[in-house]
Amino acid sequence: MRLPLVIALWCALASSALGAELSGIAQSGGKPVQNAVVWLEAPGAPPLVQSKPVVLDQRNLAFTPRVLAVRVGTKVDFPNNDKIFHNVFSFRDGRKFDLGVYPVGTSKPIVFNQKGLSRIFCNIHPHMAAYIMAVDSPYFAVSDSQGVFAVSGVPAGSYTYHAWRPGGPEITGTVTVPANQGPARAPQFEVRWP
Amino acid sequence: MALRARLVLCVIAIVALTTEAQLHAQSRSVELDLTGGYSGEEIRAAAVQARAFGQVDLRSQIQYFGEVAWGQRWSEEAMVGQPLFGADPMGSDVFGAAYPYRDKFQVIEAYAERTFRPRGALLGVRAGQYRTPFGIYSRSDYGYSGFIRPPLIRYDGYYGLSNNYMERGAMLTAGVPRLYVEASLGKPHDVGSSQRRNGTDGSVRVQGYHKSLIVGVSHARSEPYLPSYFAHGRQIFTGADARWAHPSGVQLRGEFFHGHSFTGVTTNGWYVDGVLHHVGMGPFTAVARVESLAYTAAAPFARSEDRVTLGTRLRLPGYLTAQLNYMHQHGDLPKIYDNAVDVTLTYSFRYR
Repeated sequence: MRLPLVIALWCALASSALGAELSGIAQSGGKPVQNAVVWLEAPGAPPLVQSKPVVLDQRNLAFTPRVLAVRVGTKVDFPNNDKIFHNVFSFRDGRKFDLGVYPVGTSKPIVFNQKGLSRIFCNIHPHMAAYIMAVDSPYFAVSDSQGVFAVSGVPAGSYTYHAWRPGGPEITGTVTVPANQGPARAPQFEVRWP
Repeated sequence: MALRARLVLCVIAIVALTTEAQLHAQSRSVELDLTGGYSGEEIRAAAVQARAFGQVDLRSQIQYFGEVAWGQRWSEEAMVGQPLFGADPMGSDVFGAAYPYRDKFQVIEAYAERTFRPRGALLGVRAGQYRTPFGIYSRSDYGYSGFIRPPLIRYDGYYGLSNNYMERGAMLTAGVPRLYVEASLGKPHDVGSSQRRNGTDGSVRVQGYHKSLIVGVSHARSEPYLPSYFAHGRQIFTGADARWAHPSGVQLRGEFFHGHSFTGVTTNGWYVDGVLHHVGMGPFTAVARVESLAYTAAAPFARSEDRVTLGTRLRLPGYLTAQLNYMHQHGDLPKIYDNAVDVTLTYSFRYR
């Protein structure tokens, strides 16, 4: 009798401490939008501690994923997994760099130390293009092919959110994340482009 | 009429490829390049390339690549000198950076490849039709890279090792990313105007890198492209290639060849490419090439040629790429003019 109560109490405390999962759907013209980036402003968030490698792969003459969202200060690795040479560069805005040519099996890193959108290209293969959105927040997500996204670990509160999609403008709004929301009872909200 | 029929065939092939990709949209891509060009040598050109590539499925890690191409050139100028056997009778190599202009659809490359990465090693096997693995040999390094002409040592009929040489066989890759070997064994299936005689081809290339310097050494043996009553023995070439890149956007690359296209003659040649793509240059890439070719043979067959190329590539919106080259050459290869300005415009489309 006492065990279920302990488990329920632990779950409630844990979900409160870990934050809620804020899930939603990105749409444009009534259709789901893949690769939309959604992030919440969080000026008081703890500093970045990067524990896992973040990778923008070069394979089959394409960048994978096509849209990558990272927190400002994140080191992104650009491995070349094609047997031909690639030349990764970004020149328009955001983080500007040119990694030069490098062969199969090798990788070069770039730290995205300023927020904003970087357009990534290969100077050898004109069809290779990707976006990296660096955001000044730990709370962000990229929508899947159904337009669905989920931002995890969000503390309860009211937030200003931003959303961007390839070829579309950045939009902004507010969203409230209620207290004591676990992943199973995630709030839903919609990000809509006209 | 024949041209129209070929264009229709081309469209059908592209639609078929695209439909195939739509049916199996799993890590698969179809690309289409449409190019028009004009040279100050008073040559016009049109070309189409369609390619499909990707992974057979995500688990097998087997990759495939297939490319078909059509190209045609039209000239109103006569060249100076007699045409070389195996070279284009037009007397110019303009627009021939990576593809032939034979007014027919051709399969350029078609192969399957599996790459393994056990414990950081690099192992691979490729089977099918592919470019001879010698020196800087990928189509990516020549097609639409900013240069409209191929290096002299890599054009049909110039006694070197043409970019239009293809092997039908198998290629093995073994080593680690820092140092690996590519070895190919096959039969020639050339797509350009110089066609090697049937026989067994073998080539070996070793590539290594240290920091930003990548170097390679290659050796290739095959049959001559000249007729057997004239050319005896084997075609044998040994070469070295290098690339170097600086974070400022400067890249240098080049190749050196030594060998012979048949017994009793010698070909020496080299080229150095400079590519400048500083982040401040936006969509512009500046390119420059200096090169030399020396073919030593009994008089009056010996030839030599030196060439300088300056140019730019501009990535335009709407999947368009423009290339502009100025070329100056002197020597005794058959040619139309010593100086020419060449320009191309390419529309590229990819479906994933």
